[in-house]
Amino acid sequence: MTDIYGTHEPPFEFIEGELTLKAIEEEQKVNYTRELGEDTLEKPVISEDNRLTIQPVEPLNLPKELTSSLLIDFENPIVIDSGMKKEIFATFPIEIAVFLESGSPEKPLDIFTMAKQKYTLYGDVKTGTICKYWTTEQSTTIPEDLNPLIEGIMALTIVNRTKEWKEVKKVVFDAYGMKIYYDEEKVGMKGAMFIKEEELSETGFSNKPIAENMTKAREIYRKKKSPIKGGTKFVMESGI
Amino acid sequence: MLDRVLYGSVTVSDLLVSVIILFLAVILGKAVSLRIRHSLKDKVSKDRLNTISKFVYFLFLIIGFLIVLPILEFRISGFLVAGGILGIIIGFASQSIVTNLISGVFLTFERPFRVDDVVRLGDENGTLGVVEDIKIISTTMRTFEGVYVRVPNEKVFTGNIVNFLENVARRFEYDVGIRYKDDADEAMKVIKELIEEQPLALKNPEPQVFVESLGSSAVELKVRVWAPSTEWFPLRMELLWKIKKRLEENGIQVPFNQQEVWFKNALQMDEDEIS
Repeated sequence: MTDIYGTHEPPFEFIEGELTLKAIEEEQKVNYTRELGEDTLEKPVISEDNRLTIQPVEPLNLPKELTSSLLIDFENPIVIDSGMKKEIFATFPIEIAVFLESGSPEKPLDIFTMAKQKYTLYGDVKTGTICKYWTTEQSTTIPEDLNPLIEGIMALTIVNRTKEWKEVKKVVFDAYGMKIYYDEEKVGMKGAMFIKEEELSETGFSNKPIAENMTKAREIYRKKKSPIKGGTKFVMESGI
Repeated sequence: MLDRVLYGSVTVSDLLVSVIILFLAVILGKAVSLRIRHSLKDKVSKDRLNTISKFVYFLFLIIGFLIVLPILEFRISGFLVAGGILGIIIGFASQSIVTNLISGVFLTFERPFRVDDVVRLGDENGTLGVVEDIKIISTTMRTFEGVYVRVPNEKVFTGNIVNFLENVARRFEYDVGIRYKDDADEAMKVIKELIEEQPLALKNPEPQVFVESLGSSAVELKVRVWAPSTEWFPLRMELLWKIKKRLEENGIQVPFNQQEVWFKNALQMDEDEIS
């Protein structure tokens, strides 16, 4: 449970573990301060509308914007039989952005994360894709006791359209298409994976929340064209 | 004044109109290509965007010339004949330019590198830097010392090209020596944990840490790490010192060269001389 997410009128202060977010009104400006571990950011803001919106965003910005892809690695691979369609639950990393309420969704004031940062390569060195890496357990029930400031819940529908059972160890998404929803208790999104052929699967996102009354997060990459051919669908050709 | 005939039936006003048309073609060409640059900035790669905007700009110029030529009573058929003869003369006179031009065309099709790629042209001591532009006659680069270099396309095309960003990931390696009395298994574990903490050190292909050799003064460990090609150098720069510090924090030291000398007879010293 967190009350950090949402739109806030300064002055405010939130402290969650190592994280402190503060906005103080001072001489016709707002002093925004974020402290996370040893990292501190201070930004004076001059704006007609002083409200700040804090929310989860696509985990592609930190430590550097290198890729549009997110690889989710299952600690315990799942086997899905031929012709089956099943919804499973996993987690995904979260980055948190602070926006000026009147500002554009593509330009946050600050982005930070408490999730582990790691990259990996999907495919081979020549034709592969650098991906943001996240390892998670998968289950058939909604994971509980997650910190909504660190990780979100992914409801992943897997459809096996092949004539063989398949073992799914990982799933790669084009995270430019992420549709993240949040409330005070959780962050979530819906994804889908279609196993089409032996070495060909397609993944994408659904624009629906995982539960009712969740707020849709702003999309930093909504207008940015994905470097991946075929829009925001990712075609997995190097194994699942 | 404006009706004054310059040649044939071309007047000063025709000349002025032609200049204005050409001027407008330049302005419009620049404006449209700039507009295209802005609108496609996030959607098309930089080198492709360069080609598109240049094409649009020259298209406007050609249209401008095609409008102006009849006003100035130039006949294109005459140009073609004259151009053919001129072409032969220029061809003989400027062979290297033509070679560079053809090389430029082949480079455009083969695309061994793109704008912003880090490449080395020529042999081991060749030009190393970031490609700034691939023009018809030459390729321009910016070396890491910030120097502008123009390389004729013929040299680029016929020489060796090493493109450091062609593949998405690249590996680097270190040799790390530890003392014989240190636990090599512990050292390898510590180094692996440190690599795991580095976001830019790729999870897959997996990093490798192993005992490479038993040296004269140290147990030599080999550390191999893959990184995104664009981040390879920054990571390589910072990781080695971090490894050294982390090993020392865990009581493992990188030794100096040492040599044990055994004397056949024990050394005898005169205590008086020492004092």
